[in-house]
Amino acid sequence: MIVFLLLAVSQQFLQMQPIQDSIRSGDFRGIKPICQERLSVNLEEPLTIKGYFYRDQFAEELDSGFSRVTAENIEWSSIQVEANIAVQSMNLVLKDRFSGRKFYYKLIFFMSKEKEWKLYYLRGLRI
Amino acid sequence: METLLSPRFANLIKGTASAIAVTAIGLALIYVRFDFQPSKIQTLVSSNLAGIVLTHSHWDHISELRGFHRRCQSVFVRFGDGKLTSSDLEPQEALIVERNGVIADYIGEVYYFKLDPIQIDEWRFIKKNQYVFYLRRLQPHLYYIRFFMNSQANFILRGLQYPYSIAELKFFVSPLKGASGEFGFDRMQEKYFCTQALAASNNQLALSLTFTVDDIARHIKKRRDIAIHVFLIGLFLAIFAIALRRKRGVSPKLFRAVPLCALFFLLSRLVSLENVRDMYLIFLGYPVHSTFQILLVLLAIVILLYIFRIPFRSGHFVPVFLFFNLAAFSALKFGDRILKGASYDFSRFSLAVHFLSLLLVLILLHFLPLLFSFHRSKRTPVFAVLILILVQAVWLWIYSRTIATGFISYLLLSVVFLILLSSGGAWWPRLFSLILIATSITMLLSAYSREERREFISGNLKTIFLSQNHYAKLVAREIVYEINSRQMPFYEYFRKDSSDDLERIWKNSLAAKESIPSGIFVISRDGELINAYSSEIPFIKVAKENVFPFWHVEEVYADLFGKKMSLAVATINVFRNSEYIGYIMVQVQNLPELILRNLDQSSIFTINPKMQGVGLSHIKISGTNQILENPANINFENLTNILKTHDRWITFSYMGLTYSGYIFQQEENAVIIFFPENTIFRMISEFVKILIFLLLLFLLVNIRELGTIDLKAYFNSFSIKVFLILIVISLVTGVVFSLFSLNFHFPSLERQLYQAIYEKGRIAQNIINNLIAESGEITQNHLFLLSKILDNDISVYENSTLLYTSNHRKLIQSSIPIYVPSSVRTVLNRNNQQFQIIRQATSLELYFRVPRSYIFDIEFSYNTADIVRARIYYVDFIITLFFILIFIGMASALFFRNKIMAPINELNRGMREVKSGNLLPLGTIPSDPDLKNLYQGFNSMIDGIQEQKKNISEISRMKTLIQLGRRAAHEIKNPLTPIKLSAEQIQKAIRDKSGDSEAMIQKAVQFIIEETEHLRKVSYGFLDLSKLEELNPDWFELNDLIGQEIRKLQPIYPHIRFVLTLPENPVQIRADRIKIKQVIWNLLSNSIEAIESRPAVTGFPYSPEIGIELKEEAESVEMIIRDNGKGIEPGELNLIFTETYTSKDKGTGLGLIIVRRIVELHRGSLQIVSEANRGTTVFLRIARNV
Repeated sequence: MIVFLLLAVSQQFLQMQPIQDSIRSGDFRGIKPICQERLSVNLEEPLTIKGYFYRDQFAEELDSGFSRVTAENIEWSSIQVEANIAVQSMNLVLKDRFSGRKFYYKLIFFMSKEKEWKLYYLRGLRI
Repeated sequence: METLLSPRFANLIKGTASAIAVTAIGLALIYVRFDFQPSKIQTLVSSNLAGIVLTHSHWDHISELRGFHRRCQSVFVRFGDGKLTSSDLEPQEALIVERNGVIADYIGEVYYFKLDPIQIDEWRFIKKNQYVFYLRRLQPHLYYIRFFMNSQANFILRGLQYPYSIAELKFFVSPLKGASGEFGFDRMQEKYFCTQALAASNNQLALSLTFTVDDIARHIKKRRDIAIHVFLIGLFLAIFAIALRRKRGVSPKLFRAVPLCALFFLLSRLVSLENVRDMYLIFLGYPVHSTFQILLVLLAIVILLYIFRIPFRSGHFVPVFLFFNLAAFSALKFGDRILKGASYDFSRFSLAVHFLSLLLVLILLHFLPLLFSFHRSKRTPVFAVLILILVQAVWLWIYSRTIATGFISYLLLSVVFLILLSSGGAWWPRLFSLILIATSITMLLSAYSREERREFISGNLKTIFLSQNHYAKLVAREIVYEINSRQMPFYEYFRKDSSDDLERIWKNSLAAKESIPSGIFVISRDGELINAYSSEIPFIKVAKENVFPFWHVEEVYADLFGKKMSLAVATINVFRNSEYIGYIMVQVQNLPELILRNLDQSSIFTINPKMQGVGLSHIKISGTNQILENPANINFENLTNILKTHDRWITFSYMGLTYSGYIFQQEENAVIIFFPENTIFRMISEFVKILIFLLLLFLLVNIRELGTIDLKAYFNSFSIKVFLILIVISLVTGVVFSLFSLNFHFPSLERQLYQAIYEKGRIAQNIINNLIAESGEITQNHLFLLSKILDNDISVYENSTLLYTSNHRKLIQSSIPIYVPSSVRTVLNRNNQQFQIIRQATSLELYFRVPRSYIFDIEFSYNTADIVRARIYYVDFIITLFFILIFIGMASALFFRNKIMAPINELNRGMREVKSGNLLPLGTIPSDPDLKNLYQGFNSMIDGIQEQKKNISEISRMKTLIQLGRRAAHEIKNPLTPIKLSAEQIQKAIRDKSGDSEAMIQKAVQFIIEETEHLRKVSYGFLDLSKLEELNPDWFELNDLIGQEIRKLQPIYPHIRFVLTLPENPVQIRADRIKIKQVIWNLLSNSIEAIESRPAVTGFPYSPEIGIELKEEAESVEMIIRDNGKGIEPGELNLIFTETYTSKDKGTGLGLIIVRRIVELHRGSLQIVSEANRGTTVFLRIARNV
C-alpha cells in the first residue's frame, strides 16, 4: 500500500494547470507558451482539427473547436516520462453546447523538454 | 468651400465626411441595445422549423424510400422465382435468411443485421453506430436490408447554413407517436425544445430543435449584423458611385478612395462573421479562414493600386528603379507570409478555389512592383540599364540575406523589370515577362513547398518518431488504467470465468480504439496461462524480473515466429492473502504503426494537408545495418556511408527518382524519413499550367485590345495560314500521342499490380497446402505465421464464415459473423476460377479456395499516396511531353513556314525594289520548276521595264532638250529685238547729233544694260537648272531656317505682316538645306511680289499679310504659305509650271520650275490654290528624311 501511495504521488502530470485552465475556459491563449513554435494536431470529431500549425493558429483552431462544446469531467489518466520525452493522456467529456450531446473523449499530449516541457503533438479521439 | 479650399483637400474632406456619416449610422445600428423578447421565441422558431421541414420534404433520402419499397418487392419476386444471384443485388443491399435468431444464409454485401419484431411486409429503420439501415420483413424468416444514410451527415444544417447546431436529426428505435412539433421548456436545463417526426420516415426520424434564449438571441444578432453590414456596404457603394460621376474638381480620387477603404473594411468584417475554414493569414493578426478573405486581400491590393499609383510620367528611371525595389521587397515579404500561413498543399497546381486565389495573390504580388514602376514610364537608354544591372546585383546580395526563398523570384522579377524598362511598349517583352514570372512563381512555390517538408520532418516528425516507445508504454498504461478503474481485486482475474472481464477491459481501452495489437494475460505462478484476451497477438513469453505488487512498465524484446519483436509490457504480481498466486501482464506490440497510422486512415505523414500526396515514408535500420522497417521498399546502395552521419539531410536516388531524407538516431537504430524530390517533369508541368493561367489572365486583361485586332486580315494572310496549318498538325499529333500513351499506361500499371498479387497468392496457396497436409486443419497460430511470412493480413473462412484472422479489427468492428462476399463465393464455386480480387476502399483483397473448403483472404493494403503519386508522375510526364511536342511543333512550323515562304518573300522583296525604282533582277533562282518559271518571268519583266525605261528616258531627255532650247531661244530672242532697236537708236542719235541725242543715247544704253542683265539672269537660271540634280542632305531644324528667312525679309517689307505658325517642338529634317532655303526664298518672293503688285481698291482697307504654317507628320513635313496678294487668274493657273510662263515683267519664269524640281527631289509634292485679288496658298510637302 505504501508503494502505491508513492507511485500516485510521483505521477505528476506535466503542465497540468495551463492545459486544464484552457480547456475549462475554452480560451486557449494560455496554452500557447507551452507549445512548440509549430506542432502537429490530429483531433477526431467533434473537435475535428488536423494539421501542422503555428502555435498561434493552433490556439485559434482550438478556440474555434471548443466554441461549440464545453468540457466536463476532466480527468488525467496516464503518463509516460523518459529522458526528455513525455506522453500523457486525459479523459474528458465534451458536451455539445447546443444539442447537449455528450462525447467521451481522450486527449494524448506528446511533449518534449527544452527549457521546460512543450507540446509538439496532440492526438484526440472519441472513446 | 470651393473657393477657400483646394479641390484636392475639398474632395478629401467630402470623402471623409461621408465615410464618418455612414459609419456613425452603422455604429448606431450595430451598438444599439439589443432587446430580445423571449415571447417572440415561438414565432421565430416556428418559422425556422417550418423552413427546415420544408427543406426536408424535398430531401432526396426520404423520396428514395418509395424506390426502396419497389426495389425490395422486385428482389423478393426474383428470389421467389429462384433466379436471384448476388450479381443482381446493388451495393449495400442484402437478403438475409434467419433461423432461430441465427443467420442461416445471406445474399448481398450488408454486414449488419438485427432481429426486429416487426410484422411480415412491414419495414423499419435500424441503426448501427451512426449508420441507419432500412429493414423489411418479407417472410417469417426472410429479411431485406439496405443501407439508408449516415445519421451524422447533418445535411439539414448544411442545407440551411446555420452558423451553429440548434437542429439535429434524431433516430428513434420505435416509431414516434404523437410528435407534433409542440414546444416545451426544460426548467432544469433552461432550454426550449421541439421535436417534429418526419412521417415519410415511418416516424423513426425526427427533427429536433434544442436551444436556449441565448442561442436564438445570438443567431438573430448575427443575422442583424450581416444585414447591417450589407446595408452599409450598399451605402458606401452609392457614395463611391456619386464620386465616380463627379466631373468637377481637380482630383476626385480621394473622394472615391475613402468610401472604397470603408467598403473594404466592412467586407472583411462581414466575411469574418462566417466560419469558413480554409486559410489562416498570420500577418493580419486574427484568423482569416475563408477563401473569400484571400479575395478580399486582392481587393485591398487593387484599392491600394488605385489610390497610390504613382505616375512616373517623366520617365526618370532612377525613381522608377528605387520604387520597383521597394515594392518588390514589400510584395515578396507579404507573399512570404501568405505562403507560410497557407494550410493546403501549394506544390501542385489545382483548379480548386483556394489554390487559384493563392495563385492570383502571388501573380498580383509579382505584378505589383511592375505596375507601380512602369506606369507610363518611357524607354530608358541601354547604358542606364547596364548601370542598373550592377546596382541590382548589389541589392540582390543584400536581399538574399533577408528572404532566401524569395531570392530566385526577386531575381527573375528584376530581369523582367530591366527588360521592360529598356524595351518600351513592344509586345515581345510582355510575353517574355509572363514566361519569367511563371518561372518565378513555379520556383517560389517549389522552394516553399520543399522548405515546408523539410521543416515538418526535422522539426516535428523526428520528435514524434522518437516518442514511439513512450507511446507504446502509454498504451500499456492505459490498459492498466482500465484494469485499475474496475476496482476489482486483482486475484479475481485468476478465476477461470473472468475472460469476459478482460475482454470488456480491453475493448474499453485506448488499444481497442486505436486497434493496436495487444493483450491482457493472467498467468499462474507456474507460468500457466489462466485467462487471456488479446487482439492480433498471441501470448508471448517474456522474462519477468518484476517482483513488486504494483504495475511496472518496461520495453522488452521477444521472439515471435523467429522474428525479433519489441513489446511494451506492464506487469503486476498478484497476491491473495499474502500468497503469490501469479501475475497479470499487459503486452502491447511496439509497431511503428502505433504512431504512424490511425484508424481513420490518416497517418502522421498526411496529417499536414500540405503533405498529402507528397509520398513521405521512412526506413529504420538497426545498429548492425539490418533494415528493420522499409514500407516503401527502397533499396540503398551505400548504406554504410549514409549511416555514418546523423541529424542531417541526405540525398539519394532509387529507380530514377531523387529522394531527400533526414537521418537521425532513435536509440541504437537509425531512422531516415524521406520524400521524393520534384522531377523535372513535375517542374515543367507546373510551369506550363501556371503559364497557361497567366496567359489567360493576360488575354482577359487585354481583351479590349484584342477586339481591335483585325483577325480576318491575319487569317487571310497566306503565311499565317501556312503557320496555323502546321501548328494544328503538331497539336493533333501531340494530343493523339498523349491520349494513346495515357490509355496504354494505366491499364499496364494495374496489370502489373494484379500480377504481383497473384504471384503472392500462389506462394500463400503452396504454404497453406503444406500446412494442411501436415496438421490436417488451420489454426489461429497458422494465420499469425502466414501473416508474418507474407507481410499481409490474412483471414480464413470455413463454410463461408470467418474462422480466424490475423487482423482482429475485423472481429471488433463487425456485429454479425463475417462472411465471404457472396459474389466471391459464386465465382470461386466455379471450378475454373482459382483467385478472385475484390477492390475495397483502401485495399485489394485476394480470395482463393484450398482443400477442406477453406477460403483464404489476403489483404493487400495499397498505399493510395503511392498510386496517386505514380499517376501524377505520369500525368506530369505527359504534360511535359505534350509541351515539348508543342514547342518543337511550333519551332518546326516556324522553320517550315519560313522555308515555304522564303521564295515568295524574295519575290515580294523584288517587287518592293521595283516599286522604289530599283529595277534589279532576282539573284538566286530556285530549282523548283514552278518557282523557277515564276522567277524567270519576273526577271524577264524587269528586263522589259528597264528597256522601256531607257527608251522613255531618251525621249524625255530629248523632249527636255527641245523645251530648254526653245525656252533659251525665246529668252534670248526677246531682248535681242529691243537691244537691236536701242543700238539703232544710238546709231541714229550719233548720226543726227541733235540736242536730245545724248539723252536718247543714255536711255538706249540703259535699256541695253537692263536687257543684258536679264540675259545674264536667264543664263544663271539655266545654270541653276543644271545643278538641280545634286543633293547634299543633312539634319537641320526647319523652324530655324524659316525664321531666318522671315527675319531677313521683315525689315525690308515692314508694311507686310508675317504670321508664323510652328509646332511646339523643333522640326528636324534631313534635306539639302541650301535648296530648301531656295524654295522658301522663291515662294516668299512670289508672295511679296503678288502683294506689291496688287492693284489698290478704293474704299477697302488692305492689310498685306503672309502666313507661314509648318505641320509635322510621321514621315513628312508640310509647309503652307498663304498671301493675300493679287492672286492668279484661273486661266493662268494651269500655265504656272510651264517654262514660258511668268507673271513678272522681268521674271525668268524658272522660279516655280526650280521649286517643283527641288520638291520632287525631296520626295514631296507642291500644290497651289489661288483666287484673283484674294491671294494664293502654296501647299508644299517634303519627306522628313531624304
